[in-house]
Amino acid sequence: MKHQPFETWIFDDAPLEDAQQHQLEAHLQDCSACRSLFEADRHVMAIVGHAPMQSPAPGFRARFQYRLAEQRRTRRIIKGLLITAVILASLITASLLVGGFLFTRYVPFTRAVTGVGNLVVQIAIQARLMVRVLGMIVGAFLKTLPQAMVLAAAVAGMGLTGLWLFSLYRISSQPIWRQ
Amino acid sequence: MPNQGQEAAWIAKACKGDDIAFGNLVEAYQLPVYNLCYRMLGSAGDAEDASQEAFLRAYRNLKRYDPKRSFTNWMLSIASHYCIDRLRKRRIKWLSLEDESSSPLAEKGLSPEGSTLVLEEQEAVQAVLKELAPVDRSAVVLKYWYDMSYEEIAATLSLSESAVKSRLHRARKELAQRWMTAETSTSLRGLKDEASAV
Repeated sequence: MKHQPFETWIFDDAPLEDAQQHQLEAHLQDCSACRSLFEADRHVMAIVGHAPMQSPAPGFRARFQYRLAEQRRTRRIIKGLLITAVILASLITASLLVGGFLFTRYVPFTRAVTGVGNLVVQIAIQARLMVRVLGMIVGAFLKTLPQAMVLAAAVAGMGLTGLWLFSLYRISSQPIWRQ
Repeated sequence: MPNQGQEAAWIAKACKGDDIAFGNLVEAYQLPVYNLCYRMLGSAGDAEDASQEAFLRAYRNLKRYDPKRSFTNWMLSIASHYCIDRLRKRRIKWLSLEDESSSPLAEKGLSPEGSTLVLEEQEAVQAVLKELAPVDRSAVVLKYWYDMSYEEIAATLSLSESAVKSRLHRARKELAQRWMTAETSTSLRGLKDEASAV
């Protein structure tokens, strides 16, 4: 049995013409599939039509105003952080630009490069010198102490380092939820 | 509901940053917005959250509101779009997390007895609504709960009028078919129960 155009008419919102209405009624008497569909549609639409409007719990407006205030507060914080970040980035960029400009303005490029190289070498030499001086001082101090005492201090130092490493291992191996 | 002059005055004041005026708008339109969200999302908690978010979005975009349009429809449009987005995200989550083979309607079991029949049927309709695609669901709610015209639904959902008509037609057919399937499974279950009782 043909179900068209009756199936389309069943779900059509627009009112049918008289002739169409008669044809549909005649078809529904003969076709049980379309009749079931028609009855189900009318039933569902009737329930939908009688379904009440759901209303929110009392205090909706107050909850909205609280939420709005919270959102504003969060936005203010984010805005403040962004402004601070932009100011910092601008300051760093400006100082780099000005520093770079002054550096290249007063020091020719090749000299600048060799100057930086020299500076690094000088720092390395100074650091090595300082280490040697410190080494000499510590060596002179250790010579004044008895050998057994130096040995005991070295062993104690190693023991403490071992304990520190062991405690680090214990902390890192604990699960997060237990901390 | 406020009259047009009152509504226009509140909107104008709210545009200038008057929170009390916007609060009045929230008070006046909370019911239709909440009901739409409830019919779309199916739970009170989700509806509360979605309707609050819809009002927040309206507050942020109030300057874009065209006074030639109805404020209710504008609010419902914001709420519909928000609910549709939310349902789409939820659907993606469902599809990735679990099998959707079990129908909520089949789980409900429609017993035709007792004084709670109407409530049960309304719950069942809500369960059938849940099965519709988000945009179809929204079109059904706007048409049959808010009595909107095709033109208004089209404007609210950013669709053409013919698309609204075909979506509503398809949705009604799907609702009827699902209802029939649910009733068949319920009567079969009833027969099984009777047989086991005997």
